[in-house]
Amino acid sequence: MHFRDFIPSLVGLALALAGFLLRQKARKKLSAASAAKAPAKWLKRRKTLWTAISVIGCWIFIVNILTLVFGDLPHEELTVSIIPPRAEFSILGYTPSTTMLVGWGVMAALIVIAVLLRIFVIPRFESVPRGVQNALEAVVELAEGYSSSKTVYLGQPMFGYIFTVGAVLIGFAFAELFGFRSPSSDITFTLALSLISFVMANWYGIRQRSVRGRLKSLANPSPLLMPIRIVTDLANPVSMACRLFGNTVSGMIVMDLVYSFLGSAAVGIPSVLGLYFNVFAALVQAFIFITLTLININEATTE
Amino acid sequence: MDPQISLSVALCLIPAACCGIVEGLATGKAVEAVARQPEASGKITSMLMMGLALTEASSIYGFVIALIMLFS
Repeated sequence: MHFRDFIPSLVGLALALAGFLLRQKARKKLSAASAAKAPAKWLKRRKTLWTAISVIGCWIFIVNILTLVFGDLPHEELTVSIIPPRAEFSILGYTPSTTMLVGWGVMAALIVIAVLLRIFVIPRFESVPRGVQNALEAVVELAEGYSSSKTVYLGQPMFGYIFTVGAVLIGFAFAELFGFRSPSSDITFTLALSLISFVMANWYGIRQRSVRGRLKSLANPSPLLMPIRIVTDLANPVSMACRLFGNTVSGMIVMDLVYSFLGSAAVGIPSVLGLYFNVFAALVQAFIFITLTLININEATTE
Repeated sequence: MDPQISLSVALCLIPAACCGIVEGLATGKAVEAVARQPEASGKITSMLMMGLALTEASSIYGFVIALIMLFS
């Protein structure tokens, strides 16, 4: 290894240290100025500038050190597989896909959290909430209010289902942040989830209003339009499945592009972008999925 | 790659462009509504989110079909 290889990381370290020291100096000056009178704008700006330089220096240093230790990442062509890869082992002659394993992991984590909350937190509830109890009550109240505001009859029983779906989808979003492939980027999972909501809407619709009433609601504006209404109803689960799948996959592809573009410099930047592309988009989609489920059920059960 | 497939993938992504225009229009209307009635901003925001997600579905369908044509 030659000394020349160390120069970029040394430059980064020097930048980081210089930026940090100058920032401390600027901060002292700023606090002295603000004690006397209103601080000048350029002092604040200078402090921000030194902070940015220090952060950039840190980034250069870390990237170069990582490149030195692990070597350059090989550049490979970007490939996207719509069907997720299979696991390397098989259970009873059946090979599960990797997304399914991730899904089981997330579900296990959620179950453990729920059991821990049930054992340690819920028996100690007080009439004046504080801490964890406060947060739990706020979340449950929000979901309950939302589900009963969207549906006329089934707000209370639907609340448990939509809370479960929301928790699972959010868990998957956070699993994607850790580098696993999210199960909602597997079209079989999203189709299963939307079929559940389709069957649920029809089941509750028939139970609430009998088969005759359900058929009557399908022939709503005029019986002539009934085939179109039936096709629309049947297309609903497909559209919900494609929506969730497409959004998750597009976020995944964007993140893959970012990783392949940055190569070995992918330190820190992907985590900031991932917060938007993997987490925020997935949260909005979870919200939309829940809302559409509630709207379908409401449409099936009310006159 | 087969030029016909490239062309049809490009055509599949036209809905994405249209979707961008329409989402911009919808957001502009929502901003107008909030400016006129700031107290209703919560309801307007949730409605806007809902509408944007439903609008986005069309471009997402195009995207999924393009993906299927490209990679399978």
